Amino acid sequence: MKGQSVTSHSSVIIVREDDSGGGCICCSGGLGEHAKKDPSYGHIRTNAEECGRLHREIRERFGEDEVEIIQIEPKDYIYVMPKVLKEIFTRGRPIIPSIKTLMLWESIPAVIVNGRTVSSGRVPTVEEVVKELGLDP
Amino acid sequence: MTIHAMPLVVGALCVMVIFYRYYHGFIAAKVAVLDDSRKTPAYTMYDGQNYYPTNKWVLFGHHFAAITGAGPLIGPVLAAQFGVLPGYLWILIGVVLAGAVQDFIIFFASVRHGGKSLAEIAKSEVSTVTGFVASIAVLFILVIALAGLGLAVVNALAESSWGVFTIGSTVPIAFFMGLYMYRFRKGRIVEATVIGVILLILAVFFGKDVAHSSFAHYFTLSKTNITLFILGYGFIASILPVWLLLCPRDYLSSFMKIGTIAFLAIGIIIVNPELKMPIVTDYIKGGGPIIPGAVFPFVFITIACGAISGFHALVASGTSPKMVSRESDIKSIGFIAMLVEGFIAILALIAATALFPGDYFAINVPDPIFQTLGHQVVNLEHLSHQVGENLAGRTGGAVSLAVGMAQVFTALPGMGHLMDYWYHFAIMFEALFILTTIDTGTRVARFMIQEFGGRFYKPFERVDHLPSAIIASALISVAWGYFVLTGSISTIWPMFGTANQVLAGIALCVGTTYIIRLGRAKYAWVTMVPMAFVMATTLSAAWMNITDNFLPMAQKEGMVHQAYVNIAFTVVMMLCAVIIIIDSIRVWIKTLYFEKGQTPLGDEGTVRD
Repeated sequence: MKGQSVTSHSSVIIVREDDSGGGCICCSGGLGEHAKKDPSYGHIRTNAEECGRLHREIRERFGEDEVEIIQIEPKDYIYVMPKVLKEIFTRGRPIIPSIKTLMLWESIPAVIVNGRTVSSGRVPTVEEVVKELGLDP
Repeated sequence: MTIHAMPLVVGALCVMVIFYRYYHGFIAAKVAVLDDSRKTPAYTMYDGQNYYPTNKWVLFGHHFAAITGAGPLIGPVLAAQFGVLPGYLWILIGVVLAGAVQDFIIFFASVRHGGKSLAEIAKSEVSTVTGFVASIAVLFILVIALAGLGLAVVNALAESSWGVFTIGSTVPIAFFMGLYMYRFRKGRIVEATVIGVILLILAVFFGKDVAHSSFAHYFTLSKTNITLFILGYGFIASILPVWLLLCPRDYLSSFMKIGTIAFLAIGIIIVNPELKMPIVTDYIKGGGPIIPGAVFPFVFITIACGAISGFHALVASGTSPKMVSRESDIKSIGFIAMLVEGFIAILALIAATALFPGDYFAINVPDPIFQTLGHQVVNLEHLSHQVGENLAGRTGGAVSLAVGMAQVFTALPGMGHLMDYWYHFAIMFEALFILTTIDTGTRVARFMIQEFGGRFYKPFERVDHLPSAIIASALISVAWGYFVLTGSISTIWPMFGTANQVLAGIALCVGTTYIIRLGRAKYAWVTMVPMAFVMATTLSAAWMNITDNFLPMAQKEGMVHQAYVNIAFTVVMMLCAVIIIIDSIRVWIKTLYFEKGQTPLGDEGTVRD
């Protein structure tokens, strides 16, 4: 968001699937490290690696006091909704795209920067994220 | 004396808040000495993919979603045979003094070990023997857990065309979702999940029509046939690519869980049902028709998840420690997630004990045995009429929980005439959980068997080697399927509880060892006391299960084989526990007396890899 003060706390929410598998795994312990061996996670793992790359690149440019990065699975999105809602209100985002963002009506992986979806169905380049952040790295 | 739900709910919340504030605060500050100046693995091993710092409440949601499954719902329902109080007290005392402490300390130990798993921590803190035995124990425990949960579903679906249609529909729905989100409209996960949830609700709704149609007989299946179907399901699901069945199912379960549990909590608060079950029943002395044995020690293995669950130690040493951003967050996540699970267990207990005792036992006990108990049914015929199914003799806990939940939901304004829909919705909700656990558990066990087999024949450990995958999956499915086919809830559930509590005992043993090796032996009682209690009750329950249940069973014609298999499994789990206790005590003595004066781990701030 251009014109945003550098001191403002910006947020990047990366929504992507994970290859460690499983909610509701109480009585199985979950796949855990075993999932790393399962080749059928291939596509999910590739996306997760790309998101990991983006996470690292953003962090190389901005400190934690400048940009908060939240990386989550889609099923955990419900716990981030209040934060996204707050971002939408405080930054005066337009209604229709904001509803889509809030409902996560996007292709995964999706990246939400300061309450606005900057990419869905692919992992954006760090430049795209930086541009949306409007901060000087 | 009339008891209502609300005082129990409020009382439980108060106890949990007080213990969290003071006792758990003490453990975090004095025993673990959480230190925010130390970098967590999310920083020290940061890769942005598996290790990355995560917001506390986001990670709480992730951790809570992972630890909560079907266990805290079924156990308390079965333990209701002892009355309201034993289950209530064990859940409450167990969760604050044992379950939450176990989850926290293993989470903490894993963070200090760079996010390593329980077996790896056991190996590095105690010995390779303990690490190996812990892995063996996990495999045996998985088999019994899958059998216990599988049986609950089988008994809920037997002779129920509506239930079979609804639950059966979840499989093609999950397939459709998998293809939708990974092939047709890639990445559209929320869209696919919304469609999936709508289809699930339609499957519940139209299940009634199917049950009253000429197709009903296709969906009316015996216990044996349902067992074979579920066994086949577990076998196939563990071989299929994860995106086709496991992942979409996981989304459905996660969202249904959050919604339904929240609705049940609100429902119980609004309805404030009267609990018809007495405070204690005569079965506390033993001879109970559901769980064979006295309240001590059997209540402690009947309710595992909800009070303390060994499986949580696997989750607490899984993804969560890799993502926690500050050590102080471990306190909120580790303790509170388990306290909430305990609260859910109390809700399940309330739902079950809101039934009249006669109705409860008529549902949970086979009819010939029920006739000998001297209980009178009160509402059963009316309930059966309302839900559109015969409820008598539907053992396993899932049915009585579904009836209890449906009673709460229908007591809400405007819901009075929807008993049959709510009942089948609740059955679908429970089965969805359990089938997800069967998917995941069979797959995990398959990987473990392949890993073990790979020591003898290298290609066997390759998970993409189809013949190996088929053999390993068949082995594990036949193992848990055998118990479902031959056992009853009275034999399997105590074994499941034993297994889960043995794992909890192992986790507490490892936690105690870690505290001692940190140089804080004077505080080791926080895990040693619950460990001693859990191990003592579990081992004595396991022993009594062998002597009072399985050995007499072996005298009965046609049950010899089953009895000795049960005995063998129980003995293996007991041996695992005993080996780990002895090995741990050896390490404690060595650390306290022979390595005295050496720099403890905590002061130096290093953890050996």
